[in-house]
Amino acid sequence: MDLLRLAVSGGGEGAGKSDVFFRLPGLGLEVTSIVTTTWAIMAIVLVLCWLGTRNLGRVPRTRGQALLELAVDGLRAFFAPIVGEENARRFLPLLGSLFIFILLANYSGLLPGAGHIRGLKAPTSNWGVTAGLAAVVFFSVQYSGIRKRGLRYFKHMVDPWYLSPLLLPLGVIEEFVRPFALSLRLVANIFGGEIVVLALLMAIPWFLPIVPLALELIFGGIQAFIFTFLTAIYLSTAVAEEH
Amino acid sequence: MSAMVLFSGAAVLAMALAAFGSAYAQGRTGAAAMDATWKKPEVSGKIRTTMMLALVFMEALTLFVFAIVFVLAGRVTNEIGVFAAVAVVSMGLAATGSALAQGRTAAAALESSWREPEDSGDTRTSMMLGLVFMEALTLFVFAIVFVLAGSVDGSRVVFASAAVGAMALAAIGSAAGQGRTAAAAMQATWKQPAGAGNTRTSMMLALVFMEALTLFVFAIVFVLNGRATTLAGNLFGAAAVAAMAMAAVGSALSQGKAGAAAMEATWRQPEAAGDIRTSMMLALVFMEALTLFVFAIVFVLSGMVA
Repeated sequence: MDLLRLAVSGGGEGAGKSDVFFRLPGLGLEVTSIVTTTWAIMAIVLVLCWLGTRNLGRVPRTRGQALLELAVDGLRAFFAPIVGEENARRFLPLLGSLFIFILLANYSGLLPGAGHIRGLKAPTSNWGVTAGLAAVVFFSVQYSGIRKRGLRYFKHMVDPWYLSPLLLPLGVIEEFVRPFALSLRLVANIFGGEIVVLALLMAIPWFLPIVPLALELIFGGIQAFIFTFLTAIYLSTAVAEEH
Repeated sequence: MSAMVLFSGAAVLAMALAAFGSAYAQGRTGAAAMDATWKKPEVSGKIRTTMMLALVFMEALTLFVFAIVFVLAGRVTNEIGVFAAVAVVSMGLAATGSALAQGRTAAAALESSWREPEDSGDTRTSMMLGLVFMEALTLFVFAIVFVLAGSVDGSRVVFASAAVGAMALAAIGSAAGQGRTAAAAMQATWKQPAGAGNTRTSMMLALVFMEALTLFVFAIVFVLNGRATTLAGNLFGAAAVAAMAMAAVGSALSQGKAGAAAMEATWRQPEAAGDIRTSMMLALVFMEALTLFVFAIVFVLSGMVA
């Protein structure tokens, strides 16, 4: 229980201080600063997409459409060399959403007051959030693989049949280890970075925290990239036909 | 009284360690700059700028140790004397590790700037980026010393001492890996000046992975700190952070080797830069996962011990 509480709180808070705004009626789910920040990010993305797609033309007429097309084309061009043109097109909705959400979530922790004022805290500094994202990846990978290849999807676990007693457990464990490591990598980076900046702010508040803050700018982008990059690799290996 | 003696002794030792590391690195940088200046006197101005920038980073490392000695000196009591002593020595060791890696990087950058004088701006940008990463490793140790100094008392002095030592070990490992990769990136910049941007992107990715290893140790220390009040908590915590540090060092050294090889591959076959980067990242992810497994098992067990 203690472990669960620590995992959900991101390891930071003491047991005494509660961060709960209210509970969702019926479900009893707690709405904390992390949830409100997630909602804010969702709202920003939704509003931007709505504004950008209001009057679509074959040739972009509005600035919003031009910007969104730039983003979508950019993301697709980015994933194409890694997973192939077809896969990049097919998985773009998932990969693009993950990238944009994680990027904004990481950077929300760099806003002034994030983590100190109620209602604003980087969602990705919480293991519950990154585990949720990794769960989405896990189910997407299994679903895509089975849908594309049927039972042959499981072939790599039993391929030379005489090795299957060894390969099967290893294969199953690997499928679970991947999202596990995916979630832990993201949360440990963002959470650790937050604490470093906080500690240096308390120690020497002049100039010194600039270094970890600048690094956090790089880290936030690269961790969002690594998460989606690995998701893309997992998806493309799941749907790849063996030769 | 005896705690203050212990701390003072440790403090001067730490300062000497840090000064030695910084001095060695600066010597290496200075020598490389002299070498570059006689080989390409016409760009001596650029070479000097690059050298000065590198020297400032190394100088600052010793200043961080000075600062932590200053911060801790006012708080030393008999109860936490051991922690304070271990903390300053750890800072000294971390600064030495960072400095040596920075020296290696800066020397390679200066060689690059006389071999390809037209691209010395590119080289300098890559070098600065690398040096910032290595500098931050010592800052991580600084931050953890500060965090622990705020909460340490007699009941958790064993854990806190082990934690700062583990952080220093992890920082040294990360720095060694980063130094190797960054130096290879500097070499790639003059061997294939057209691919400087590609090399820098790959280098940055590799450095982030190695930086993250020390960050993982940082995170686990922070999590365990709240629980290490009993004897069992102290012993478990000390063993756990030591295990994390060992895992991080192993991962970092391997990642450094893989990263350096990727840099070399990039200049030998610039057209394949994208493929090389993808393969490099996959390799780095596997090595990083090893440390993450230790992280996870420590996390799970800590709930049972406490």
